[in-house]
Amino acid sequence: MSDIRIQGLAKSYGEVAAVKGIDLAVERGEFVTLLGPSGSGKTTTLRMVAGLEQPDHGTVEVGGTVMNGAGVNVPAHRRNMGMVFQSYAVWPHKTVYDNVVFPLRMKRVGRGEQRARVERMLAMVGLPHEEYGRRFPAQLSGGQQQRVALARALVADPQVILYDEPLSNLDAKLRDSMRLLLRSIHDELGVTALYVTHDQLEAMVLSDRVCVMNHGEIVQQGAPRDLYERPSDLFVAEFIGQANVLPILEAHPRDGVFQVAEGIAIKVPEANRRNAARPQKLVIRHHQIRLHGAAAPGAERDNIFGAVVRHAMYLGDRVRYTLEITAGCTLTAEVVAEAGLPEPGATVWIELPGASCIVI
Amino acid sequence: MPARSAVLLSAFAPRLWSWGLLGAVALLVLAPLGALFYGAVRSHAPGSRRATWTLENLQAVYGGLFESGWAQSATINSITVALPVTLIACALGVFLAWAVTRTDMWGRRLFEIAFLLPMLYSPLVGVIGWSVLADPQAGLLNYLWKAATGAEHSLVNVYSYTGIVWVMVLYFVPYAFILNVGTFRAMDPALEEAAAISGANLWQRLLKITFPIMLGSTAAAALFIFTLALEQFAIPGFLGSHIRFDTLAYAIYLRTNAYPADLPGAAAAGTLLLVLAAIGLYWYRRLTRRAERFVTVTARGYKPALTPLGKLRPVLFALCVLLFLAGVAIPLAAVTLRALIPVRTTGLGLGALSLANFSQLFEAEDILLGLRNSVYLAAGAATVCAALGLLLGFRVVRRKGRETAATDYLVAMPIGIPGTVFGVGMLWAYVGTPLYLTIWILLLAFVTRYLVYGVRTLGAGMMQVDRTLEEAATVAGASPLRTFVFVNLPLLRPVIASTWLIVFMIVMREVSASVILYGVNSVTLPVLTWSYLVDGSYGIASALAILQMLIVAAIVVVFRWAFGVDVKTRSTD
Amino acid sequence: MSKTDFAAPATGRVAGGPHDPGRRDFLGRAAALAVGLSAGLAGRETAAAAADVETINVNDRLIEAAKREGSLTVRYSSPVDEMRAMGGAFQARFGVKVQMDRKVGVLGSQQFATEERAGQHVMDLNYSADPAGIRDLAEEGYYLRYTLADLDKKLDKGTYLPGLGYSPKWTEIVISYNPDHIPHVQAKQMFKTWRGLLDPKLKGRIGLNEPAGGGVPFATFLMFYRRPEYGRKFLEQVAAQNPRLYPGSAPGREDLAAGAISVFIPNWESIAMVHFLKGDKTAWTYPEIAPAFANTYLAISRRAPHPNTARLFAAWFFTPEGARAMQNVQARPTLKGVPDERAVIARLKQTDWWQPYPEKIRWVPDVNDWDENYDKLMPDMRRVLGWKR
Repeated sequence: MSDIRIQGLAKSYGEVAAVKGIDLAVERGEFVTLLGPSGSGKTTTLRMVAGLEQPDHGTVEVGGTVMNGAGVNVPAHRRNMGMVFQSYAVWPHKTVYDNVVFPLRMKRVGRGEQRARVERMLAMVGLPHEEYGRRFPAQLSGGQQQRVALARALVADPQVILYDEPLSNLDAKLRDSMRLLLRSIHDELGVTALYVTHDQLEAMVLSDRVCVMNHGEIVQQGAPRDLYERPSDLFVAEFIGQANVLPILEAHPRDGVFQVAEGIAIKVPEANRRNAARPQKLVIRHHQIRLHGAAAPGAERDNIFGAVVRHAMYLGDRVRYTLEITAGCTLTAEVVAEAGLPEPGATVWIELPGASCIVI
Repeated sequence: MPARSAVLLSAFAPRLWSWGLLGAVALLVLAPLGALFYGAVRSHAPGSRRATWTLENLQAVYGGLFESGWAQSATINSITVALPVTLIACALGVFLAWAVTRTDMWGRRLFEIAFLLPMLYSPLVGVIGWSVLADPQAGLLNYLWKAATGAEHSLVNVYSYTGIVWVMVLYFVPYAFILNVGTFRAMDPALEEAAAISGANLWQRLLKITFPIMLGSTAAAALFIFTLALEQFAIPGFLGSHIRFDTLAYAIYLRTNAYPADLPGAAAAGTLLLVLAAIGLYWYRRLTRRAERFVTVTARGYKPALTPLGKLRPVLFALCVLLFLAGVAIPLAAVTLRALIPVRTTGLGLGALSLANFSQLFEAEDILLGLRNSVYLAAGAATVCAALGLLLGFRVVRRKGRETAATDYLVAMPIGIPGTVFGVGMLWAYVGTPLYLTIWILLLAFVTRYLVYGVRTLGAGMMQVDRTLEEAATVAGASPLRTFVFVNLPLLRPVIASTWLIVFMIVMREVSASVILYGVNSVTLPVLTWSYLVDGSYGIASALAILQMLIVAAIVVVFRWAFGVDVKTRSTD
Repeated sequence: MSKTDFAAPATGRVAGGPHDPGRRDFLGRAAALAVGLSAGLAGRETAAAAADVETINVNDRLIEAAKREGSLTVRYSSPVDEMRAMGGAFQARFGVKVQMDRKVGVLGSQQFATEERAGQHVMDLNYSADPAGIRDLAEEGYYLRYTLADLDKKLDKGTYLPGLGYSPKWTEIVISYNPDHIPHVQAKQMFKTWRGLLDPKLKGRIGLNEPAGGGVPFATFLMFYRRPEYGRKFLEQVAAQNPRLYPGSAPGREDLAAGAISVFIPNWESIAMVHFLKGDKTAWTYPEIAPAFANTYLAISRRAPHPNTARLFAAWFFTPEGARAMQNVQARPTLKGVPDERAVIARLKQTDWWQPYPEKIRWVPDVNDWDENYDKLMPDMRRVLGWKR
């Protein structure tokens, strides 16, 4: 049974349509991420689920109760949700304890129970009450403040928890540990979660399912791996992971051969052709291009081309190459750094494995 | 040469500048204040041959606090007026600021301008308006009430404690509004949203989250209003004498004005007001000791997330309309009506409306002189206050040090004493200089008195400019001066403009210090209004007040058009 | 200031002629330099001033000297209209620009004192109702000791501060009422004496100018205190009527016209006449006894920057010509033997309620009593009326 069910949800600000009729269902206990660039409508969608914005059209149901629908608009404070904000939104005039206990007070939970639940939550987010409970937010680091916000969002057993880019204000190292914390808490409590981010890595690590949004619509949704390996849409392909996108000059669908530059035709298996009728682009991820060095590989393999190394950029564990196949056709490839890799100016053989190429 | 001077500048300039500025400000402020303190311990006005050292004046004021008498009753009255006025005005101001910035109420933009209208006119407009409206015998409201209900007793009486508080509250609401509206805009809306998600309804959110977080800025506004309410003499003076209600400020005014004059006594009582204002400052500092627990103004702009009011929407709108009518529209209409009645008669006398008062106004030659002087003074004081405020605010915010803290305290002192007493201090301090009786002494008085607006507003604005922007310019090779001119100034443009406008509007209506310092050729519009009023020419005084309001409004509109900025903080939507 | 400005010989005072204070200033300063203390200067001058009283007469030489000075600065606190008319008449007659600097209440005297102490000689003449202030500052040597030629023939005693200030107009106290509340006939009956104020119907409907409001209220309350048939007790009874107190007479007149109060005291006839001419519907009546006094004095600064004009201005209002100028603002001149030619009289005669001022009711306050007991009586009066001071 779905815990969150969104149908035909739409919202405009004046002339600008922020969200254009979204359908989405989130199962109980599922962790779903709305992923997209800024202005894609993901935050607006989340805020409508929270009750902070009113949709123009469509329905929102949570736990079988209609929150937004014909003549219905349950205000935010009666939706029984938790939410973690990008700016933490920890109240500066309240101690850590008072921040976290607030939702329980609003629910008129008994005093003894309040204390027990706040202490349990604080322990869970790694801010033991004895040490942190009486501190004020200004005495905490950004990461600690966000943990307080997390504890506050979860303490009252919400039906769902909503995350609005909670990690984007933290530095990279903190972000890693917070991601782990978020996921482990989710695994432990199993609260249905809707998460908004523009960081595809975050979405990959955290989510059971990712919905990629663009221009107010969900363009593709699926398990992180599916999205990465089988983007059905050029936007998704480009947004998730890094990919070479080559224009298709001539398509020969019958042979599965697509010409992307003068004299460069690439063979793509049927399963990877998303847009068989009017193929436009050929996509291959950076790390899926193989380098074979100066020696030509066996003739039985497809999609082998000679190329000149234009640049090589050392990224520590990997090396990023700019390779020119012919004039005007340049590819980016990433390979694991090891001894004997070609230097700039060298001529190499490269392979674009058909199973890794996607035609869109 | 340039290289050497640059080295010198960077090595010594900051401290030298700080101390130089401090010295200049100290001189500016301490001259009139010092003269006052000196006057308070003299038996006669300073300079008089009979004047001797004495503690009698101070004894009469401070000793008088502990025994029944004028000092005690006037002090008690001052506080019993200033406290509720401060609380109510702040409550209303915060409420209006919230309604206008944070809700989806109808007509928010319009209200934001409408509620600032009283900033354009003198407190005497409220006094005239409410006398016409709410006189227990002859007030228009009471006429209507009696006619409508057949009641024998009148409905409202402005000559009462409640009346005084009412008129003063209406006068100070715009201050509370303007001082809080910016903080509401700067406050992260997620703080409120987090409370909503946590299950708090609108009232719980306001009471437990929004207002407590706003406390810092509200307390600052409250301190400001408390100080101004203590020193305001015109409203309690005009409305309180019927019921023998005396406030310190009015008692001081009488000492400078009635027979026999007692300037040393006035100076001594003036120091008591400074003490009361200092007590206010002490409580404010205690309350806001932990500044970080209140809203911190960050450089980033927030998307305006408006609280949906739902069913409360018409209620709030009606409340705002009511407040606007009661606080602005109706008293203004009453003053306009009075301006159109050449001679007051029993009843409404609507048949005799004419523009005679206005035409009489223009027959007197001094009105153009007064207008010119007022505009010059207001523009001059606004410019100097903004410029000095920029320099001082920059020091106070960016360079922490004892001398900058001292500057910050110093500039706040001159608004703590009544305008009349301040005027006397200026008179004593500068009478021997060539500035005396020229327009320049007025300019000096206004700059000294209102510098605090420049320092505080621009200081707050400076805090919002991310320091890294300055550092980026410095790293790029810009000298401190160039950084200031090309980075800070453009970023601060809206704050500078709004500071300028506030000082301009306040000087345009200043009367209490001007009345003491003006000369034949430096008469100002408010002084003329005051003269007509004291003379009993209520119609002409009303006409002049209306005219002045229109002129200031026109200037504000032109300024806004030219600089694209208004007194209101700019909204992000 | 160049010497050619002055028509008088350098030896100084000549009765009836213009005077050369510039010369005496110079001598005074020289003396002060010799002593080395400015206090010495002031002391000498006070002594000298007390001994010598200059007599001013309006003659061609004074007029010529005044015209050469070209302007005059008068400080005043009286009604704007009155001062404007006086200045305008003087300017029209002599072609000398009169700058009128209004300082309400005692501010004018205080400012003058502060200026003189600092050596700023700005003001020529003070048209002031603050006799105590004038006397105080004269003692410090800031006011010119002067008298008018033929003083006894011109003025009644009690209309001037001998040697210091001369009042060009009478202030005659009347009881003003709003005929919409009290019809004329009834008012005349009711206020045959001041006791009419005690009528229970007037409770809460009386306006009083408060004692600190100036000479007019003080003189009136002084009369109550001094007349055995009234006494301090009478003011107490008036206070029990719960009157409104006004800090000045202007708001009282405004409220009377509006019908906020039914009676306003003390008002004075010339200002009531001015308002009558403007269309004010309120009226006034005369009780059996009422203060009549002349206490708005023309006092001349000893170091007036325009000494001849100042003298001319002060003396001219005690000529028939000047007196007529006073009549133009409906003021009754103090100058004896001037027929009442005020324009307002003709208009008032057409009403059914006005009657000429009955001379027999005139009560002229004792200036010495006023002066000596002001500081004691004023706070007492305020106390009686309910103030804490």
